[in-house]
Amino acid sequence: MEKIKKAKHLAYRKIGGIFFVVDSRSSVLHELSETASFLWERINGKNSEEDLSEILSGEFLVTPEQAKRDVSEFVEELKKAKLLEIL
Amino acid sequence: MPPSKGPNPSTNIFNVSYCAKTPLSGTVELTKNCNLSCVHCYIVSKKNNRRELSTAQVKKLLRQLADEGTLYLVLTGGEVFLRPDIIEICSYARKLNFDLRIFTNATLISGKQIQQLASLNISAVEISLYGREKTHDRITGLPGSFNKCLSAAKELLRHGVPVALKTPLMRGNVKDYSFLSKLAAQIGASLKVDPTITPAEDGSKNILKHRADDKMLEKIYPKNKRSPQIGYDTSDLLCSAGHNFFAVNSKGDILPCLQLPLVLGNIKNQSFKSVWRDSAVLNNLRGLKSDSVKICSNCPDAPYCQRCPGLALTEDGDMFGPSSIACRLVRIMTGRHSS
Repeated sequence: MEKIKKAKHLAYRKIGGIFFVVDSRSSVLHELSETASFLWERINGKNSEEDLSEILSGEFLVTPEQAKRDVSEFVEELKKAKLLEIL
Repeated sequence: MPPSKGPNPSTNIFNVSYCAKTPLSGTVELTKNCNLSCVHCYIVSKKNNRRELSTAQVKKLLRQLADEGTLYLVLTGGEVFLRPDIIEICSYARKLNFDLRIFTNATLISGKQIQQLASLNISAVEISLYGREKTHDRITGLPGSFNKCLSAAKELLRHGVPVALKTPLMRGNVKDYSFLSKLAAQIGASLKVDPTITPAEDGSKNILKHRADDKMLEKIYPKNKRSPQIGYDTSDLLCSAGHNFFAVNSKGDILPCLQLPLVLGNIKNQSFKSVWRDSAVLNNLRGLKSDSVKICSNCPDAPYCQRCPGLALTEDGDMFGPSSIACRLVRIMTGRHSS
């Protein structure tokens, strides 16, 4: 499975329990939801989409299928915003 | 699962950090030393300053800031490229995931440093450029500084580093405003101008003579073009310094802002966290309400005003009183008769 990594051109910080992410090329600020913030902390270049789904379903009361859909949607949204690199 | 939670992340991050007293944004002054002698500079002693923060002390500070929630970081001087460790500090700041901006006169940046900055993905290099060659070199006191500065700006842009040109609007350069505007557009930089000159850090007001007069500024800021601040509240008269904004000067003093010279503590012998959370001066500042600024809170121009408490203190002697430069600027920018 492809591993997922945060893009290099980002600045980010956890404030009030959620992550705010800046694209340094445009200075556009993104605000992540609580669940997205949970996943963001686990994007480290080692975890794949599948790994993230397992972590999510292990932490929250969601079925593996729902976790897979949620993570897939999360990754697509972040890829569209150019916040991720797929290795 | 959309990445964005609210309609306006900028408003949300400001409100969350302001309420939680998170030091979201800050300026770290790395040195007061400078190779230029700009006529309007507020720094009094620009040569041979010692007791400045070491590389290790700056790195320790950056770690503490990251832990406390700082996202937006500005490194300023003096001239930061006089420090041989500037790239090391920038690199460390980016490893800690700060949104990083550097303020510089851009006369000392080498080609290698430009390449290194490009690889660090910093948000911007903000360069002081005052006007045409003759104007710029007269203000900086260094012949050739315009060409060095412009050359570095172009090289940074060529390497993909965002650049902002910036200048105070003064008697000596206000006529060059349209030149700067065209130059910035031509090379692909943004332009920031500010009509404010601040008193020198020793309290001297001699440099205020460089401020542009009303007629000069009226050409730049046409009357009645200024809109009231959206969502204005009279608490805006007190600004965010000490709430979610801070500064650390080159000696390690922690301040609410470089323009508000209230020393809260020093990072050489205290943790940033302990000062930020426990400073009596800071907690007093945070407890102030809009009615602390008695005259201004009743002023009809207040929603248009960009009063700086630091300037009210350093220029007019009372951080809770009117700021004479803010009164003047609001009158120019609104065309209204300021009370």
